[in-house]
Amino acid sequence: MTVVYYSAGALFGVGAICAVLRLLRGPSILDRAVALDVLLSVVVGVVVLLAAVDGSATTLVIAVVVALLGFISSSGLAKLLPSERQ
Amino acid sequence: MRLIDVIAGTLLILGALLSMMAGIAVLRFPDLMARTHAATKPQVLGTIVLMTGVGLRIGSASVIGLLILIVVLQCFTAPISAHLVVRAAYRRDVLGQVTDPNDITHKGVSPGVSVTSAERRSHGASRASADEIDGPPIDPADATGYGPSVVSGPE
Repeated sequence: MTVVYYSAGALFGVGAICAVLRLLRGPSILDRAVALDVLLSVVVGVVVLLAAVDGSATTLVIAVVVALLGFISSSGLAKLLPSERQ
Repeated sequence: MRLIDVIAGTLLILGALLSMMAGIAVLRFPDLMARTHAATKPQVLGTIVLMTGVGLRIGSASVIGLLILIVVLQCFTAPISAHLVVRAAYRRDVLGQVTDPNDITHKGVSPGVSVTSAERRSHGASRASADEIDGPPIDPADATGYGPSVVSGPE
């Protein structure tokens, strides 16, 4: 089971690094919003994986909060952008 | 090692693999719609697979309740946020533009994308391109931003 945990952590790490690269590079702010959404879903996965390693339910509350935070950040960003169409 | 541990480990690896695929797709795909498409499907399916694996691994009632809560939240919020992002891109008129053409060679793969972006660049110069969203959007042709009727001065 340790092999499973380490390899899942490595896959999550690759996904997070790619999302952070898009977050740094992304030309428009909406690309950054999508990359931030992916990054926060990776964070949810890592927190849930840590809960599976521990066998405890205390860190799962953090996963709920991070999932809601990702939704609020990207949707608020998309709603509050001024539209340029005339 | 029991059978249920094997199933849980397989599901954990599968969920992590879906998250990695979402990250690589967000980095490599050429425009915003492709990135959104590739990013939101593993957010739902990867979350369901991963929570199933953790629920098989731990298996107490409070943990399973929290996992079901996370799955329901993700299944409701991920399509809504993706829809809002794409609608904001549509309203800014930056939807079909290839914003990072160096990542995937799109010559011949999707000619419609390059044709529409070239047309848009030729006929409407005052429309906001994708690079101008967080840069200065002021065009020197109409520096006021209200069209030529304001610039034209006395009648």
